Amino acid sequence: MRATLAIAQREIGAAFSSPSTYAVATISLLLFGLFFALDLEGRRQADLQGFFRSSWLFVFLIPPLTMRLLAEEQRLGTIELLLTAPVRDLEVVLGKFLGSLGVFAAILSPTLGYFLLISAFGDPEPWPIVTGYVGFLLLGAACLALGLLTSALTSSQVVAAISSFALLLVFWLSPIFNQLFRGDIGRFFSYLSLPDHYQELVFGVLDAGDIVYYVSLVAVALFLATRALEMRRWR
Amino acid sequence: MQRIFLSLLRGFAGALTVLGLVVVFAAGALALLAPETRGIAYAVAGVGLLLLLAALMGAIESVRGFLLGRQGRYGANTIVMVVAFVGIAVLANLLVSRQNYRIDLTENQSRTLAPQTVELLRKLSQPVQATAFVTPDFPFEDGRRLLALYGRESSFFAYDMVDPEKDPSLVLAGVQSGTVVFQSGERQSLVFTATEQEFTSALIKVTSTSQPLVSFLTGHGERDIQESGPNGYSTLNRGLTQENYQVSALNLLSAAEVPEGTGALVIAGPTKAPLPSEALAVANYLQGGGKVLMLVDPETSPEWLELFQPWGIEILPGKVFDAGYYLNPDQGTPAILPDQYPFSPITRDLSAATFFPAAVAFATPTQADGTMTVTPLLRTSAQSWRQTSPEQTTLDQTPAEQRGPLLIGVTVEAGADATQDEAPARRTRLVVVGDSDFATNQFVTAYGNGDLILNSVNWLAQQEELIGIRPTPSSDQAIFLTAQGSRWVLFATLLVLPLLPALVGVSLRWRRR
Repeated sequence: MRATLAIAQREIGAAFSSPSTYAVATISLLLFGLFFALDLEGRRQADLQGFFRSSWLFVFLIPPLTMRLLAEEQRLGTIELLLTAPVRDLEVVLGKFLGSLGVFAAILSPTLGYFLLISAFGDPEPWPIVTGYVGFLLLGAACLALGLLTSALTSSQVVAAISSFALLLVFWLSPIFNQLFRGDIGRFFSYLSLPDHYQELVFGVLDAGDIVYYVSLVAVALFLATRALEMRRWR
Repeated sequence: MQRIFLSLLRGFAGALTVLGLVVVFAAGALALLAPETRGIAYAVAGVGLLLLLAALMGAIESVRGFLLGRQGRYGANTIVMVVAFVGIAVLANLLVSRQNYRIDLTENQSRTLAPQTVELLRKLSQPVQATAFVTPDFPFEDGRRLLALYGRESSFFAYDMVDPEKDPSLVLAGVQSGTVVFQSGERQSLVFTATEQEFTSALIKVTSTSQPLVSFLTGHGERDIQESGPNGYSTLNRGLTQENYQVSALNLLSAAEVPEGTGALVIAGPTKAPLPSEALAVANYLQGGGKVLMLVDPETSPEWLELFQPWGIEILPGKVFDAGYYLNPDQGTPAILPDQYPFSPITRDLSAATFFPAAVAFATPTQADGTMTVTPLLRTSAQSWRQTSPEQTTLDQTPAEQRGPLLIGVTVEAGADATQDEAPARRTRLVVVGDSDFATNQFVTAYGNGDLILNSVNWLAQQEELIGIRPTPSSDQAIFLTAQGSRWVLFATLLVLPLLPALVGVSLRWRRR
């Protein structure tokens, strides 16, 4: 566990030393702010629906955060150092994941200002906002885990970013397959949809099925990333 | 010959592998895009598999070396672990998604099914299939969510989503996107608005074993259920039909008695007196365990009022005014707030106010004998009064005996053993309200007026499970945003917050230099 936290800490430090992180943060907050402001002007409701519904931006914003996590280590050759250190592959993957999650949460933290704004002009219901943020973090964690997986599979950051984008797009648009396949197969593809499990959380409902979905997706993605790292040992 | 064949396969193993994969992929695409050619697709897939098998035969030595070598063993081990892990994740999701472990943290539980819907679904004992015809671009999030929630509550409820534009027969039949068809056995009900109210009504219609009859008495100036003008009852007619009632007009001149099987008889604001034979028919119906909703106005003829005196109902003279709660600005339209309703199954779940233009009041009920239960239903505030002369325009100008609170709605339940658990169908039920205007087209959709009259009919007809299935409104969180406020919002969200990380990044870079 100590190794995991050390790697996470190093990852956060490295991310905040990189100009690209600040660029992603600035663009993210600008886009989130735009959707929040437009929704507030339009619906005039004291809630964060407009902000929460802009989660589709993750498809574009997460790949730059995750592309370098493992791909860069492989490109620079430092991955061998990491893999020969007295650190398990799982600890490396978990550390990288927690580090990226920390960076993601830090980027999101200024959005708490939106809650202050709507509180100044109205009387928002607090619980849907709390569950909305829980959903935002779970969704973000799932996207980060998928991005980490693609980063583990290649030594090229560009390939990792594009693959991550494509993978997130597939998960985001999976309900389309419900139109191609009827019955149980169609419902399976619909179930894979990343945003579908987020809808109830945004409206103030904690559903065990949604939470299990995100947690299991993160677990599977991290497991596969760990196996991908392990493959280097016996390739 | 065999050696030559094998050496040919060895030489072309790579090309055969690629060709085999392409053919299998093409077969899959064919099956997907043209389901009617599935037979051909299977044949093509078979050819592809044969090509792959031939490639395998040609490269058998390499494959054997790989599988038995270190990489092969690790690879096989990894595949097994991945399949097992993914299998466990899928199983966990399957198990949890079939349960209904959810907590609705919204203020008015707006994301949770009404208790009546849940009860209805849990009592389902026959399969119900709901098919939603929606195109990919049709906004159907609420419908999808509701169908999923319904499916979780009952294993007898199944649903499916179909794109109507993909099936020519549906296009020809004119099936529009957004239509949901509920089917159980031979019965079918179409829903065009994806709300819980509509879905549950459809569910009741396709599973109910009966369609109770609600008869509206005619011939004495009663409200007309076909009239769509402001004073008509056509909206109420539609509402009752949606609640799975069969609605009809009843003229006691042509029918000597109230028909057998009448779920409820509604007498809505009659202005002319009944004939003796008609009064007798209604009295006999009540005595025999009938269910009557009587809506009384100041103009209602006294003969009708005499019919209900044996049931403990006595109309008091004068029109009701209320200076405490009324439909602004008219104090002659008293209103009753949700926390003022006396306890009654009719108003138990009524969370909206009701109002009554030109109401009359009843005397405090006296129970004629121990077999009858008379219960107050609607009571005005203490600032109300009965106006019996034009000078009584305020509470102070009214004698004390005419002051409120005043009873303007009463329920009566009676039977041979009214306090014991007798079969409900034999017990008389009576609802008397001192106004018929509140249920007219112009007022029935306002506040809780519609719910009150529908709940009354449901109680009379023993359709208690329908009481309270009304759409739960989301809590209104409207904000008042001035032009200045809008500017602050834009300033904060588009300038201040996005600049924060930029400033931090720039300052860190500056310090590093």
